[in-house]
Amino acid sequence: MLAPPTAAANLAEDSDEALMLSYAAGRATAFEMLYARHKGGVYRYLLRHCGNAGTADELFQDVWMNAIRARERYTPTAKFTTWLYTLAHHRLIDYWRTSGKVKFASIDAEDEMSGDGGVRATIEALPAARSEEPEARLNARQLAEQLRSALATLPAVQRDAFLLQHEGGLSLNEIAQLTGVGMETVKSRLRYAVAKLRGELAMLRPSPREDFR
Amino acid sequence: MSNLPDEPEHDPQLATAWREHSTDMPPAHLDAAILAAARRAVGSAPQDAARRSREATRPQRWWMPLAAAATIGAVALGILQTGPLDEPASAPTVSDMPAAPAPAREQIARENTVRDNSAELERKEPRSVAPEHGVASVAAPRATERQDVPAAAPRAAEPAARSSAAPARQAAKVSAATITDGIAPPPPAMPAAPMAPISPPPAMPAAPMATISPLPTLPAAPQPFPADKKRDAKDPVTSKLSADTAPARSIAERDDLRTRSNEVARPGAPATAAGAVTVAKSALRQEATSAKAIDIDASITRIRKLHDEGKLAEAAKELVALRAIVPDADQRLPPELRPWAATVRP
Repeated sequence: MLAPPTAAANLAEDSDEALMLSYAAGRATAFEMLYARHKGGVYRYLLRHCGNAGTADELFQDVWMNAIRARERYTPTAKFTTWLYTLAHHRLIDYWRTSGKVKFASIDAEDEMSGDGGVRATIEALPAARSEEPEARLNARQLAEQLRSALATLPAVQRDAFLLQHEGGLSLNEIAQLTGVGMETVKSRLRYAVAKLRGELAMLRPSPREDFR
Repeated sequence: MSNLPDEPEHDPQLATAWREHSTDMPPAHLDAAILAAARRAVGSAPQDAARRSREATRPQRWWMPLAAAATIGAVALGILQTGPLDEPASAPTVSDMPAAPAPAREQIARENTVRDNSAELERKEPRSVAPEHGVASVAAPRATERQDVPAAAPRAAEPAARSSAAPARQAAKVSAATITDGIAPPPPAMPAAPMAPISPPPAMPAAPMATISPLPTLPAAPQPFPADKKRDAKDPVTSKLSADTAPARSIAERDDLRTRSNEVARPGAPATAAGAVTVAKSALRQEATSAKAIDIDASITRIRKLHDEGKLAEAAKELVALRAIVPDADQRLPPELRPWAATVRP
């Protein structure tokens, strides 16, 4: 970090909300600390949703630019991560809407449907993960790619809840607040997502290629 | 979140596996772009802490080049102000005449004396038959020309006078103008015409006037400083002028006139310089008119000659006539004649 060591140490101990307020007051190093903390989670959240690195880069930059522009309006009424992932979630919804591939309304409607037909429709609408090559399944990253593939097969709302929980570290209440649904809805989504991914992992370990197909 | 097994929405093994294998990060160029945008948004740029500390502890030396520039400017201004002060002091101007020192006025009076002698010689000698109006017509254009000629014109007839002081030069120029104009009118009719030329422009050197003068018997014109005996001794022209004018006026008369001029031109006189010069000229003119018939030196010479020839009666008459004009005529006689002069009764 370019800032003096003492200042950097103080920033490392500050909370996300304090760092954001400090950045809003004009301290650029506070934003650098915030960015270092959350850039990976936000990027992976966007990448797992859109499945395209170029699109993820664009969305990622837009999210952080929106955060920079909204620094003066930021009020620590909630966790910073909630606020940040809300920006990412909204940007992702805008992207899907403009691209016309997926409509979150239909996906939300699918949530109540909870049938396999709806899941398949969502998987077909999602872009393929860039690391989804058959050769990669046999190497050391086989498990990770299988997880990404399995995540890609999840409905968008379930995937969104799962990513917000594991990448953003949000609680059920925060996810519910962010997505605008009830707590029980969030739990249901997460239950479906975890069950699906656990099944994929169980099938992958004894015979990954055969079981996956 | 909780790790309780009865929570179907959370699987610790799945979370660990996801955390281990999900390590994708944004590209570096994206990080740089976002951080730069963040810095620009708050108007701050990354700075080196060491450089900032150096700047914070750096002594305030901004005034050093400013002080150096001010010093150089002050020195330059001083040089510029002291340099030109010498030249105007030597620049001849007519306006400086009222402040002319007493020696300059004395020289003006001497010049008037020489002019009177010249006028007397002109009347006496028949060869000075040059037309007066012609002289005037020549002198006037020359004076006009001299107005155009700057004061730097060399004075060929008087090289030693170049080292004279500035006041002497100014007085010489004024006196030269006076002499030039004084030649034009006939001596008997010299009222105010010769007085006026005191105000001509300063650049009127006397030497060119001497070279064009149609009166070769008027050597007084080019003599601006007859009182300077040392210069007269060095300058052949001035010496010749002094020799020519010596017979025309006695030493006593000269001293008397000089004394009167000094009295008139005293610094404490109430009149202005021009007025003082005018008064002095008038007094000198009256004195010269009353004594111009007497040539003291010539009389002494004749007395000595008559005495040596044994014509004591004629010598006595001459001495009596001389005594009538010069009270101390006996003292002016040669020492060998004084015993005889003591025997002569009026």
